[in-house]
Amino acid sequence: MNLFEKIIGSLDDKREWRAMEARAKSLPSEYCNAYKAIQKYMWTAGGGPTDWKDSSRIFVGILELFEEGAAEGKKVTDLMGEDVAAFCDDLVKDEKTWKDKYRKKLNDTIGRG
Amino acid sequence: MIQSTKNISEIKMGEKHLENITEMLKGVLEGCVLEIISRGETYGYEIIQQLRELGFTDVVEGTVYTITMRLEKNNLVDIEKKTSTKGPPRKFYTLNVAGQEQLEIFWRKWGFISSKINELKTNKIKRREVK
Repeated sequence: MNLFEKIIGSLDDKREWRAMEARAKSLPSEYCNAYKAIQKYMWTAGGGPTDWKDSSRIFVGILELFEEGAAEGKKVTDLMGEDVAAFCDDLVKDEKTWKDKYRKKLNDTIGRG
Repeated sequence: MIQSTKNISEIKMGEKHLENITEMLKGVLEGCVLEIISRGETYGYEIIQQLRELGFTDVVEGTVYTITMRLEKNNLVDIEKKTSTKGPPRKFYTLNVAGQEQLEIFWRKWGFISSKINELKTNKIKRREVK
């Protein structure tokens, strides 16, 4: 990793991210919107993995599932059930997430005092 | 005719009692999926169909998908991608040695839990006398 990448982050990761965004955009709109909504949920609810490798594996997984579902002409809710949030929580069950990081920070802060 | 209508409503009633089975099923679904994969190479939708045929009709693809993804991450399955007639290539799963071990552990745990719960149900456990 050169100095430039140290400042702005890995270029390969950025390339991978852009490729994933392009895959999401090429999905039917119902699926594309669902993908965006899941991203939003993962990021705001702290459920997203802290590590990029884990994060990309999970989002690529969702893309694969969606591409398959879209090809078979299924509706998003047929594929995921009504509780999509539960689906997201299950996906990151074994991952180190931001929520874990915040929990640790809280416990460490108070434990020190 | 009336008889058959009555039967249908009875069946529906029966299902209603099992409506919120999802929560209880959650902890054992991974074991069920491992068992299904252990019977021979299979893919996501086939696993779901087997679970539905068993009677777990509420299971959706997403639920099974979160499980197969975890199995994959924890290296319990071997994966082969094969082209499909429609859509992207499909992932086919087979159980590897670590997966077999995990499955055996699951059945041992299940054996313990179900025997204990049956013991409770058949009331073999005696209450201690309250003094």
